[in-house]
Amino acid sequence: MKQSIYFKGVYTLEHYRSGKLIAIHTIENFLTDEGIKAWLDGIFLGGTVPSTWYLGLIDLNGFTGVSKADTSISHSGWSEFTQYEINGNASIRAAFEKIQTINGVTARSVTFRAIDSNIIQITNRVGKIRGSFFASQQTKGNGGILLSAAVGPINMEVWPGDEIRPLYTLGMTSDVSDGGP
Amino acid sequence: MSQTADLRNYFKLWVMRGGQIVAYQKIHNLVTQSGVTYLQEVFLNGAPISSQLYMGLISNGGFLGLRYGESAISRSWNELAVTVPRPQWNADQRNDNDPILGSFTVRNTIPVTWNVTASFNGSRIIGVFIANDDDVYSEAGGSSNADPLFNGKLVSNIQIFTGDTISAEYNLTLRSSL
Repeated sequence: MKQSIYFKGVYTLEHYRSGKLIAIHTIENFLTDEGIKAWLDGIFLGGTVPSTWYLGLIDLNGFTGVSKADTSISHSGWSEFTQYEINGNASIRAAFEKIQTINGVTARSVTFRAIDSNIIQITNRVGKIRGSFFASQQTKGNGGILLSAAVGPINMEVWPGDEIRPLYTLGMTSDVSDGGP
Repeated sequence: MSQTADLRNYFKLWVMRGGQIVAYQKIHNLVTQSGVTYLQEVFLNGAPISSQLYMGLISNGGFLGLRYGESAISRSWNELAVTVPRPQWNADQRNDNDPILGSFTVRNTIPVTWNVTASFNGSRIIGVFIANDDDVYSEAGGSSNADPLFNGKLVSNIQIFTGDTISAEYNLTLRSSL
């Protein structure tokens, strides 16, 4: 019997303005090589996988592309969008709580939901967000492990005072529900 | 942009008799429901459920098939406990771009081995599995409640005899389709 397990990550960014939900952006991600290696090493080779992950935003300004070869310290095709605060702190990214869920017979997923105090609050400029990423470093800027990145079909224009509530779901699905000899 | 990373894995199993390989099979394998949970645990807790994994053999006797939802207490097969406790499977290498560009393979370079004693002379192996406990399922009073995580069925069963050495490798490959 031959079987594959498929990994798929989805970012959901809820965009609020003046307290009203004005858009929901759903973005499918890719896992970076750095993320895959960290995951394999953490399970099978005694490596360390961060137990906490943080969501960062990708700026449209200067964006040329994302690559699975991107790392947290080297991503030449994009820059981080940093014009926001988390609970009044302008230097950090959103943190998450984690929930494991069972989806039918063949799928398991881990959902990362921003904890209530970790809403992204846009600060001092109108800008456009091209995508998002998941990294192990809480402080904005390069460092840690880049697990995944994603760019959506459209850009998200944000204004000062806007809020973004992020969700990230990393699912694993088997293409076998059962099998005989 | 959309991407799916997919995980494939296989066992290699061979039998040595009198210094010669008398049987060799490469086995595509199944990740069980418990295996999927095991693979995800690292994202929840930063570490796997258990860092110790052990390999067992599946007996041809009573074998009714491999099931995705099988567990320690609900299996359609019996363990052939050639070695008690089970030998450990130690991944010791990650190969990048193996076998193709953009894939990452974890494997054990030192084979897991079982030495066949007279008690198992003439027995037949039909498969192999990995669980995170070294207590065999058939052991009287054994405490293993560890579910099979990865298992695979041989193309055809292999008969083993006293003095044989069974060896196995496990390769697990994750690659992205981007």
